[in-house]
Amino acid sequence: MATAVSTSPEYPVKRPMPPVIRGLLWAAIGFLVVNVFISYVIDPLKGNPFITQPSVVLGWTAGLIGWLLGVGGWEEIILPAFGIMNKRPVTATGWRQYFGLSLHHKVVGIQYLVSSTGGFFIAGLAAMLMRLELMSPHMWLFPDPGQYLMTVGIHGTIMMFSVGTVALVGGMGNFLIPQMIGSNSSAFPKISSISVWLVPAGILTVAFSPLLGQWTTGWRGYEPLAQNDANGILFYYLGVFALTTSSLLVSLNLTATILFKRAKGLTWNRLPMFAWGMLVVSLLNIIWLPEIQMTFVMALLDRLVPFPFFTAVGSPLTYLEIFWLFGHPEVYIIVLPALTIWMEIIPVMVRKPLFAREWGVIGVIFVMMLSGFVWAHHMFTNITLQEELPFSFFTEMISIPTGFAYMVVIGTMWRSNFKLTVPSLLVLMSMFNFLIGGLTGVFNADPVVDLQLHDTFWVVGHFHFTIIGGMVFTWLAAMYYWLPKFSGRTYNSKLGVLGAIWVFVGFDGAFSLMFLVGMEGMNRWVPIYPPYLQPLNIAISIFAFILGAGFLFNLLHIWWAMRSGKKVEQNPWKSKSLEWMATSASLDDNFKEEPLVVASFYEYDDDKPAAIIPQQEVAASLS
Amino acid sequence: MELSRSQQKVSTRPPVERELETRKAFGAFVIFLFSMSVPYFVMINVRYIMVAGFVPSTVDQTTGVIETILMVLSGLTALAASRALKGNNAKLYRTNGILTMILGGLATLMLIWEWWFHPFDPMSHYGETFLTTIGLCVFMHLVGLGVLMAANMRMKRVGITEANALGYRLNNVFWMFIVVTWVAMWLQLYFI
Amino acid sequence: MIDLLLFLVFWIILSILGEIGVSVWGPHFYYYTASTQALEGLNASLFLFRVLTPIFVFVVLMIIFVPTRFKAKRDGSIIPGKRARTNRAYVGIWITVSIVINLLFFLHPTTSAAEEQFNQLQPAANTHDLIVDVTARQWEWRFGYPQYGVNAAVDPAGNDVLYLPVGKKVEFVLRSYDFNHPYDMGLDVIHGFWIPAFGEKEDVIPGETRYEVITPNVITSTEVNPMVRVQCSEVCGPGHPVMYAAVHVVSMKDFLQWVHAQHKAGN
Repeated sequence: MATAVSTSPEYPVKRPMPPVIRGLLWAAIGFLVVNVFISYVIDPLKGNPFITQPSVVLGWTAGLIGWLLGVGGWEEIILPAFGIMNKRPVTATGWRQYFGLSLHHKVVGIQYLVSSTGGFFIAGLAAMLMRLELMSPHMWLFPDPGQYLMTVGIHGTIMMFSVGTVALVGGMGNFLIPQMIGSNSSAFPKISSISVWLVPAGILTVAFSPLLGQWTTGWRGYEPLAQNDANGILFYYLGVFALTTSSLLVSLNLTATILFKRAKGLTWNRLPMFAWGMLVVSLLNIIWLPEIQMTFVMALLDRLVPFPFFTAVGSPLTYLEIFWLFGHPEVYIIVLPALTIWMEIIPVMVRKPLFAREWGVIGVIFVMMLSGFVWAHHMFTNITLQEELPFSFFTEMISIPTGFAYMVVIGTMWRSNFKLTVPSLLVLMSMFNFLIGGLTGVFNADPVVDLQLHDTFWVVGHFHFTIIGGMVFTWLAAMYYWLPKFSGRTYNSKLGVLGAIWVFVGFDGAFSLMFLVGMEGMNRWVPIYPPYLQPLNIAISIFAFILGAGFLFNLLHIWWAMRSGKKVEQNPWKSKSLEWMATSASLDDNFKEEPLVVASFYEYDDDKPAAIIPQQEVAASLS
Repeated sequence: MELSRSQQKVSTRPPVERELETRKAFGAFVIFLFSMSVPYFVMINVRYIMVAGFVPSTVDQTTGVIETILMVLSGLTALAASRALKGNNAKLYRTNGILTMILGGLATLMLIWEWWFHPFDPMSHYGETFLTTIGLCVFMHLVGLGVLMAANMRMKRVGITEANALGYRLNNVFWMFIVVTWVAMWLQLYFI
Repeated sequence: MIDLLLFLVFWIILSILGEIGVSVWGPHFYYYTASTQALEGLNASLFLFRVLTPIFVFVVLMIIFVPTRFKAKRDGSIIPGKRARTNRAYVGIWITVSIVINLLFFLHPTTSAAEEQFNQLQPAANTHDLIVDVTARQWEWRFGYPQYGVNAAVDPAGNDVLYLPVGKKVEFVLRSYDFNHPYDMGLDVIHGFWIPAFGEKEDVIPGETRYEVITPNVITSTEVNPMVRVQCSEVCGPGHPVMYAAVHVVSMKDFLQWVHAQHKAGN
């Protein structure tokens, strides 16, 4: 498909402006026109100041629409919707496909992964600045505490909404799911093709929020502080809106893909674990992302109009409730795909059938269902005593289905033929780190202990262990494991092991010390702290810099491996999963003929293929 | 281009399989509608948390009733348009579509009118859930009208084919969804 | 079978070592405690540590044991012979144990500690408490002693300061508003009232009143240990990091003397 350009002769070949440049241009025009209209024509102050709250919000909305239309939404979505079909641009080929709207799920997945990686390193840079500042108990790097707090907010927001919810869902999900279920495309390729372009827009919006002024709330946008902050908080709401819309659209597409595009014979009993993970995560997204979007619209109106929803004359606690109502499912949105990736990688690496598969599925489904009942454990210090108990109960109970992931993986590994490779090493590291994240969470679930731990660096350590430990380590494992799918090449084992140990040392050093510094009385959001806490903070910072460099090293290694790593056969891990039967490292159709699934993908005690592709001898490659 | 190929595939498939494809796409659309209903649930929730069952004395019950009647009628015409697709009747679809837009547009205009002239007190949180919910409805109504207009112009330019019939139907289903949410919001805001 | 036995032996030995570690290090988990409530929290977390240690050891040992003991000896992709797909005993034990442990945690320490907190807040139990009005604003703490007629306690340098008598139950009444600007009383943000050595924090929410009951049990002060300080724990704007105040826990006699000095200074 990469080369098959379907230009019909009756439409002259003309290459329009590169989509990204045209998107930027249209975005700029949209913003300027609307902003000028609001601030000069409607506003009685006649353009002084030029940027006002309403003008920037509406101008940004117009800019975002201009961007989406400019990158190709105009020809691909709007004109066809109105029945105007004959103005399709020339389909891009080669590298140009990656810089415009693409209907190919692999291109979209890679676009998502690149955006997500960009967000990861922008937010990572923010984290490095924070750690640099915290090496001294006084202000020295940032001119004032507000700027430090804004850096904290940018770090958290970009990490949460452009990496945590995006990398494994929009990225790996779009790239892998159609291949894993034996389809050539996702159910609604147009949806994903446009939604991916919301991610860079959202990241840049949040990253450039300081242009409008300091906001000090952190990633949670707590009210009524958000009402007191300068206008930068507007770009927080708007950026998050763009990013969550992107995840929402992806989830709709992935749900439909998994429900309706499965190959023949791919029954629910044979559905790959990662597809199960994507399905439950998508359902969580479909329920909770519109919820937080509506909440942020209300918070935005609170400032713009102003409505007194969440100020002291309204109800600040209502914001906290509906924020965390989304906020806790959010962390399961981040970690559930990771748990299912463990179950994908481990059976292949240990050459043993996936153990107690049905309990793995039950686990993720119950986590999904319980995740809506636990939100107020973020609010033990806000709510009254009698409200604490039910949330404490459900929070403790949710560890049971989460533990099923460990039960399944440990059962699979037991008495197996364990191959220690970079992916399996990273999965083990991820299990170790997520275990610490989970067990420290037991302390947080207990109100009497949580009243001491809440809002300290203990909590910072806890949630980084669950999110970096659970999700980012697994993301790395997934990148190394599926690397041949991207480029037909593989990584260098020694460099891979070095990279894994490097991030492990940096990560565990930095974040396990955070538990101690938190218990010693270091609370969150403080660039100025009592001097007795300095030695531990210096140690944390040094480990954090090691960690940052480790991520950079892994990025460079993966990039190098994709371009000039060792070439490998199509199915280097001898996996039975369908994605390894699909074409690798090219944008041709995944399957020339629709495959027929005949057995489970996780049976490694015989050499029968799990799926047959008619008229192709791909199955032979397994033996 | 991926899509166009799969569309060709659909049109060559036997009717049973095509029916199945249609049902699948419809199922996916229902999931989308479910997602779109979440903001309404949030507004209902917030209203009950903050103001319980407060109906502002200033709401105009007459306007509410007329709006709702118009919306229900527009839902019926949308349903009729959807039926017209089965007989491949493009003309009937468009007539009903235009009727839907006129009725729905009138209702939306009344909604905007009510929204604009509703008393507003920046220190009272009683009226504000009303304004926000109505604002959400106005926004969704405008989106729905845009979708109906797109369907109408598409019908004029392209007509009904096997591959695109479902799209027309879903456009109308979206409007019916908006009608249902409005009726629910009307009951909630004006009575309960 | 030998694998299982070997694993069990390792698991038991390491768990015992872990429990010894908990006994040695556990009591220092809170670093420094100066109230009975902090001791309750510490005891609760020690209980959690005791129960969680074998679980932690189990998983970590698995992560190390499996790759070393079951390291792939052959390069073949298929290991012939039927392998376990499930094991009813293992799954059954796992699920039962995880449910039992979680129910246990909910009963103790969660519910038992909550009961204790409920009792402390009972009006009957609070007839002779010392009441301290804590007011938070951006960015200052103010402490008033309504029973002694002290509106805003300050030290000679003019900084807000909190004095508490040792061994007496204190009821903090937590409110957030700007006392310097009574014309916009409503406009403040959420703060967090936290004295690290007291082992509890409670958010101070504009428009709501919250209570926290603390019994200081050691004579101490910020100078003795910096964990005895009032620290705002909820982000409240650029001044958040500097929103702290000194705390002195003194004997009843010294406390009354201090109150007298406050009266003299007209506070």
